[in-house]
Amino acid sequence: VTDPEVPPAVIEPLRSDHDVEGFRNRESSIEEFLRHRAWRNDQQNLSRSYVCRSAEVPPPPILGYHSIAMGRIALTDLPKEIQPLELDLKHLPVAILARIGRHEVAPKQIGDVLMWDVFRRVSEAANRIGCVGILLHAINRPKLIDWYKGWDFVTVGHVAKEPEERQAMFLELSLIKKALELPPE
Amino acid sequence: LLVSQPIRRLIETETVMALKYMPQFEREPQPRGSESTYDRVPADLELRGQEAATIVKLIVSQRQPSASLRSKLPFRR
Repeated sequence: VTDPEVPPAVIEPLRSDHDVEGFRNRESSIEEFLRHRAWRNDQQNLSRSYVCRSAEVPPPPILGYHSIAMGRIALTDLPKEIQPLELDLKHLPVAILARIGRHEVAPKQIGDVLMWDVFRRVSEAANRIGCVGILLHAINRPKLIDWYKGWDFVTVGHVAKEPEERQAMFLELSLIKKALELPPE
Repeated sequence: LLVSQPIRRLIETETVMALKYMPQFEREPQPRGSESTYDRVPADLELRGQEAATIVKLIVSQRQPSASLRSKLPFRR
């Protein structure tokens, strides 16, 4: 930390002593996953969760978090025009962005910080074990889907119409890497 | 991993102060054994036909980051 007057904030792997009980989000699936499932998933190697927290207020409140896991997209009945690409197109490995959310009183920019962190971690994972992009299943709220589109995610598959449905969205790895390499503004 | 200066400033001026005065409250615990969406990592995806082709085209595309994505650069650590 270069400026002692400014409290530091960190993004770090979820620990058992993080204040998950104090995390609040309007979506119960976001809130409850962190409070009840994320740590257990970590212990069982099912997903990894990372929290953004302030270091200044004891106990450090969680400002936001994301959880990522490995998954795949199965492709069938591909049209003939795709075949000449000569890729192994039956199953594509992807990173699944299982959850991302900020505390209900945290500034919305925390979400942007978290998504950059997702980009960086997925890019590093892809360098080591390979994956073609990020897949997520968005809560079907127009503002939320627009926020993902602002990150260049593209809707794929069934178009969600009902509020309880999830909208699948995808972002390819090549674009993630280009974004990470953009010069700072 | 430190967040950028603008975000740290935001945290100081907005979030931390808000959290200091946030009332504490409890919620009903989830009943044991009940299944809900919070308990699951979203499933994988299966695509067919033209939807499957869309994914392949995205993977081999040469898309460039949009202006919207570029606008988020100040928050890249």
